[in-house]
Amino acid sequence: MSIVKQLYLLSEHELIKGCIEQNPHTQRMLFEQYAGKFMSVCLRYSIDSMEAEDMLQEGFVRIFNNLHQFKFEGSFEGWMRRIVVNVCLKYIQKRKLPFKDIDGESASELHIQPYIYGNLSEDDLLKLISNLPDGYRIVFNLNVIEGYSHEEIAVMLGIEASTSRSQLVKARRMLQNQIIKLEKIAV
Amino acid sequence: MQEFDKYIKDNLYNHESPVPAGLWERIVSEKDKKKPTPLPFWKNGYFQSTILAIITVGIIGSAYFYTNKPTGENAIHIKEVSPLIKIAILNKNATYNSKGVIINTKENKSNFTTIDSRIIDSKTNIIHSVCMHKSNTQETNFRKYNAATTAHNGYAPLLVNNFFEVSQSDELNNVNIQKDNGRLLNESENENQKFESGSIVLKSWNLPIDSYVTKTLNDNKNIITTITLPNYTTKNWFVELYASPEYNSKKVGISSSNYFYTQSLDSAQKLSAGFTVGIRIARNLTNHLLLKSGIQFNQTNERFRYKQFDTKNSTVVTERSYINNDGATISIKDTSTFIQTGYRLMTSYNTYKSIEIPVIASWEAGNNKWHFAANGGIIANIASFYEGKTFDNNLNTAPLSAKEQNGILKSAINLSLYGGVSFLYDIGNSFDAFAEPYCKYGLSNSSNTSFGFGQHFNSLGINFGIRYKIPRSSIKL
Repeated sequence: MSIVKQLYLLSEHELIKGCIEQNPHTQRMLFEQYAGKFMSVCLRYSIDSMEAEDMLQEGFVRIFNNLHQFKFEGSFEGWMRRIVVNVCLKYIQKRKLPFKDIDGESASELHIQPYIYGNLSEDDLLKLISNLPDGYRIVFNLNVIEGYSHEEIAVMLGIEASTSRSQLVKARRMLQNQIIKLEKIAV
Repeated sequence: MQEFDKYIKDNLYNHESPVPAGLWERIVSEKDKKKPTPLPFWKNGYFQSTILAIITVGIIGSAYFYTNKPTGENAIHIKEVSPLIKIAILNKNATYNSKGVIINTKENKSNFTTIDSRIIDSKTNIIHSVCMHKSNTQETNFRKYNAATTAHNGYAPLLVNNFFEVSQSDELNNVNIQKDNGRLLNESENENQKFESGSIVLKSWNLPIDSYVTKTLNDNKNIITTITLPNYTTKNWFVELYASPEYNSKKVGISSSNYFYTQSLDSAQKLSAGFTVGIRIARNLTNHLLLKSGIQFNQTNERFRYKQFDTKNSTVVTERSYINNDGATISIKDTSTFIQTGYRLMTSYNTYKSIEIPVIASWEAGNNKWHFAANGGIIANIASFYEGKTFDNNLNTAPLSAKEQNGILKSAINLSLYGGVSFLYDIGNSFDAFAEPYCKYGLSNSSNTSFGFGQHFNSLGINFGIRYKIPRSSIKL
C-alpha cells in the first residue's frame, strides 16, 4: 500500500464538479462559502427570518439537485443567485402579494444627496428596505440589487412593466424619506 | 437616482447575514428524500449484458457442434460418442498379421473352440468384458472371465493404444488367460447367456452386441470392429488447474439514511484488475453433465482516492517605502495572514483477498478433439482478508481491516453466482487445455448491515487451465 500526497486548492470548477459528484465535503464547502450571501438575499424578500431560512434551504436543495445543468457559462454565483431569487419569488407568489399603490405616496422622484445616506451601514440599509411594503420591497430588490429589468420583473411577478416601474419609484422615494428622517433624528 | 441605487447595490449585493445553526443538516436530509433508489440487479445493464453474452455463446457453441457432426457410418459414433468401444476377438489358435487380422487358423471357422473376446474402451483403454466360449454346437461349455481381473493380468498392455502394432508373437505370448482369476461358468450358470456361434453378449447391457456394432464379425475372421454403446456413461474423475485475470466492479447500494457516507465511499473507490487461481475436482454424472468443486484464491485490487481537507495559514509581509516631509525614507511593514482552504489528494491501493469454494455444474458436449461446455453454479467466499484504507462512518479514513474497523466489511461467508462457458481441446495423454470465460455476480452483501448500506462485488474473467483425467484402475462388470 502506498500513499501519494499532493496539496490542491479547490478551484470553482473543482467545487462544482465535486458537488455534481455528490461529494459531501465539497457540497458543504459550497454551502459555507455562499450561505451567508444567500441568507442576506432571502432576508430581503422574506417576511421574517423563519421564512428566509426556509427559502435558503429550498434554494440550496435546488442548487445541488440541478447543478449538473450548469454549463460553466457565465458566473456560477449568478446562476445560483438566480435560483435562490426564484425560490424567494415562489414563496412570495404563494402569499398572492398585491402590488398596490400606498396611499399618500407620490410617484415623483426625490433627489437626495450622497452625504445623507453615505454614512448608513449595511445593516441600516437592510432594516430600511425591510420596512418597505412587500410590493415595493420586492421590485426594489429585483431591480436595484439584482439588476433585473422591469420587463423581466413583469414576467417574473406576473405584473405589468409599468407597475414595476411605479413600484420602484415609490419604493425609492419611501426609502429616501426614511433616510432623511433618520438623518434628522441623528442631527 | 443612479448614485443612490449604486450605493445600495454596492453595499447589499455581497452582504452576508448569519446563517442559522442546523440549516446544513436540514438541507442534507431534504436532499436525501429526493434521491432515486438504485435499480434491482436484474435491471442492471451489466448483468443483462453478461447473461445475454452467455446465452449467445451457448447457442452458437451448441449449434456449431450439432451442425458439424459427421455423416455416414461414423455418424453413430460421433452422435453417441461416449464411449467409443472397440471389440477384439482373438482366436488363440489363429495366427495374426500386424494389423490384427487373422491370417491363418487351425480351427474350422464355424466351429472354433476358444475365443478370447475383449471389449476395449478406446477412451479408457480398459477391458470391459472377456468371454470365452466354444461355439461347437455339440458343446455348451461357457467360460467367462472377469474383465477387470483380466485387465490386470497381461491383456491391457497388449491392447492399449498399440493393438494394431503388436507383433503376432507378442500378442500370442501375452495372452495369458488366468483361469484362477476368472470365473468358470458352467452351463447351469449361463442359462441366460447361451450364445449362438460367433455372437457375444455383453453382460453389462444384456443385449446382443450386434445391437451396438456398426461392423459385425465377418467371414474373414477380421473381427476387429467398432461399436457404440448408447446410454453408457464412463464415470471419470478430473483435476483442473486454472488461473484467470479478472475485471472487477463493485456496486454500492445507497441507503437514504446513510446517503453521504455510501456516496462518498462509492465515488472514492475504483476497482482495478484482479486475478483468481484455483484447483477443481470434476466428476461426470452423465455423459454430458459434470459436477465440479475445489478451492480457489481470489485477489481484487482497488484504488481508493480521497481528499484530506486541510487549511494552510500563510503570512504575507508587505513593505512599503515613502519619503516624509523631512525628505527621509520611511519603511512600513504590514503583516497580514490569510487562510487557504484546500485538500490533499491521497491514494491508497487496497487489496481484497478471498479463499473461495466453487460448486459448479457443467454441461459438456463435443467430439474427440474439441469440447464445449456451459457452466453455472455458486462461489462461496469462506474467508476474506483486506488491506488498505476506507472511510469510517464519520468520513474519516480508517484501515480496511475488518477487525480494526469494527466490521464495515464482513469476513464471513459471501455467495456469488457463477456463469460461463468453456472451450476444451484434447492435447493428448489424458490432458485437455481449456479456456473458460465467466462472470461472477455477488449475491451477498459484503458489508456489515449495521452501516446501512450494501456492496456487491461482480467480476468478469477468463480461466486458462489444464484438465487431467485421472486414470481408472478397473471396472467391475
